[in-house]
Amino acid sequence: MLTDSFSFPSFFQWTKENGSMKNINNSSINKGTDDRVDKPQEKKLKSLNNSNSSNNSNNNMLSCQTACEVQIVPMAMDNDCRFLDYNIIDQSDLDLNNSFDDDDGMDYQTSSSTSTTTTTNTTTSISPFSLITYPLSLLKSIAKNNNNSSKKEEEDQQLIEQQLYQYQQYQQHQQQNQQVESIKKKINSFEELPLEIIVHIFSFLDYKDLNTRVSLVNKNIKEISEVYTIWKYLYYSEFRLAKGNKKKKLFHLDINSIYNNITPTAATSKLNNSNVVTESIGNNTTEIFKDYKQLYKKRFIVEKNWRRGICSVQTLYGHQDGVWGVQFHGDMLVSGCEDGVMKVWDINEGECLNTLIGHQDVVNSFHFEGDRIISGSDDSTLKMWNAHTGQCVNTFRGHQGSVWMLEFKDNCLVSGGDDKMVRVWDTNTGQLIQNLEGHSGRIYYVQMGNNLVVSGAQDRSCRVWDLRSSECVHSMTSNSPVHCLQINGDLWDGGDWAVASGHNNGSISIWNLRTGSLQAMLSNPLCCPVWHIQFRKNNIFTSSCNDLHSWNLGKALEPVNHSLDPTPTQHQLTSSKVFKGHTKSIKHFQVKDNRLVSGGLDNKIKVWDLDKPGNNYLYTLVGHTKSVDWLEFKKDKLISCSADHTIRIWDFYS
Amino acid sequence: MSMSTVKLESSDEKIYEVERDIACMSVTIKNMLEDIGDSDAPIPLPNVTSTILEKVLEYCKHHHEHPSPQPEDKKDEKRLDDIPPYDRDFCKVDQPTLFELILAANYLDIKALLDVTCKTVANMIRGKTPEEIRKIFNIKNDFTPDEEEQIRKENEWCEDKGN
Repeated sequence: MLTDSFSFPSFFQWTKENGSMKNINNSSINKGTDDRVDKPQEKKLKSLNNSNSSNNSNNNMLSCQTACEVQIVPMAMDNDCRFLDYNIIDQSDLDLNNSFDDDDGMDYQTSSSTSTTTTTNTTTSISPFSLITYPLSLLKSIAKNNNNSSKKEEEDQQLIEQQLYQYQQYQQHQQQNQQVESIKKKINSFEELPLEIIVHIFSFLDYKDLNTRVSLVNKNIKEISEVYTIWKYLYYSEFRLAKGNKKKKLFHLDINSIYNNITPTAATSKLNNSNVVTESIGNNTTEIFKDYKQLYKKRFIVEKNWRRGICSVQTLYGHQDGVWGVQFHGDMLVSGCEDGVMKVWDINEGECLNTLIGHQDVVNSFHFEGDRIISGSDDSTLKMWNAHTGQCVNTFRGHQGSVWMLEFKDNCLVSGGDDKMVRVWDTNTGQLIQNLEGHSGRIYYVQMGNNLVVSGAQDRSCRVWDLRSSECVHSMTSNSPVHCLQINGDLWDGGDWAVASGHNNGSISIWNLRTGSLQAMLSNPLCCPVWHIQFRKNNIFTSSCNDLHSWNLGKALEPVNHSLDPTPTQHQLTSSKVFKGHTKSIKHFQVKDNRLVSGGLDNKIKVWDLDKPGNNYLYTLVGHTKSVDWLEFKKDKLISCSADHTIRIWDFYS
Repeated sequence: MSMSTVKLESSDEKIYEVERDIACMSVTIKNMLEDIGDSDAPIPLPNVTSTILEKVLEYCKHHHEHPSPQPEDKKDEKRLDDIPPYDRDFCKVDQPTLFELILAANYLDIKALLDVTCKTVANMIRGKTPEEIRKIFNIKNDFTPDEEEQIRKENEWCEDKGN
């Protein structure tokens, strides 16, 4: 028993030698150190077993004492008791190359930038011996590793990991030490509190307290009040940017399963896969260190300007005919003109980067994603363009007649048109991979979600197609041709999707995409075509004629049980709110968060605040001299296009 | 074979025997216990004096006996107006004690106590003028009037939300 207890120090000795961080990058890879490595590990294993058994038997005071003493500080370190996770430690602290510069072990001073206090010249109740020990869990892991001593490489790898781990322990321990220091000395004033504590306190304050009060107390306090973690929190909480959950993935396309269904005869399209854009479109999600106070400030000003209607306007000239569509994409936007020409613009400079010429007839639909723009035209083709070069990189041939609508994600492209067919293409090869046949009228609308495609047609029906089986899963028939549709994956908890279809006669239906059942009919008081539909939480927004309506779906989301009720009664909803103001038809609108922007044939753009009590109306943006046909907005900018041949960028920051 | 009580030793070497569940409201102690296993030896808390440890244990005991379930979705909300009456009274102590409680709560990893003590300090700051804040915490102003004016200008943007 006694000898086993003595084996502890030998482990520490070893730790000090090999754990010297100077050698961390190469010492363990060098096989020459194997001797030194193996021996202490064996001893450690023994001692570990023994300390355990002694605890169980509980009759060896020495061993028990040792185990206890050893664990005082490292335990806390091991579990990172400093759970205030504010990242206010300088990064150089973690730089492995420049911290340790001594081998004497006992004196664990470092040159790292944040270590202002040292452990040597202060008396603490913790013995220096226990300060350099490592937690039991580490010993356990070493013991475990030692059990399957199979390959040298593995051991080396483990050793590196151990050393890294020990180093991290050491780092934490350093911080811990500082904390010990700070608590030893009685704290009498606010300013003596550790930085992370003051940050935590400040994190309970709002922007106004921090900015107009705390920042004026003194220089030191001002600096702390600007720590980015505080502003990061304020930024995300104030502007509802809950990290991560914002962009629910609408598209989980299983491309492979689609391929399984390709029949050789389906591949009728001309292959043109020589110069296809194959660059992957990946979002770089690594979070960079941001000045969140600046971000907060910018966003704050932008929001204020939106509420007050303060913005600068830039007009983009260049199109020779009415501009019917625009789409943002990063710092670019793409626009489509009645004459079949599309243009790519730099938003910040307001200059035209590329003109996409190639279609023989009017372009009806386009979509911009990654580097690619795909367009569908009356000339019965679809074309894929490189947004940066303006080159047409692929032409998709197969439709018989006008292409009305398209959508693509990854390398899957779906289109619908006059030939009553929904066609699925591979954007990489240009190959037509599926023909979805069933509609008896022109297809005006297609949308993708998961492995499903929803199409809306002149034949008064919406159809749901499963890309994996190429089959029509549901056909949902109404009493009027489909004018627009929108799918939504957020409505039901169970993961069911909803599709809303707007029809020529003004009727609006909500369907359950999984069951194909009609969930609700919206009683639109207007009998003119529904131009646009958009979901927002449990509400749906629709436009027809001069009015916008919002509908609370509430009850309509309850499942309609067909098995119990052979003739189920659908929910008949009445509009919960009408947005009146436009004097002619609304051509397009967008709703996002609490903001609604609409544009129409009266040449006007109207901005509405959904949180504002009363009629929600804020103001009208004028400038276009003809009908506003499409608009889109993002955080600080609004783009609109008009039959007056121009595009306008309304910038709410500058 | 789990023990119902554990011993805690303050920095001034006073030993307190407390219910295990109460001690384990401190994540730090909980983790130590898990790693040590069953042992009679007192757990040394070299960062906490007996005066403060007593206060902390009093707090833990109260909340152990009166659990207030907090809804999951509100957990992350940084609100200042949700301090329960007991906690408010508990934090009515002089500043040095309050600061020591904060440090102990941080060291022992008791989130509820850390938050409530930090909120108490934040409440002392909220809505006060810079001069008032300086007075409360005995902080010296090292800004020149020009610098103050400069900061005021820099932060002008947040004076009015534009509603």
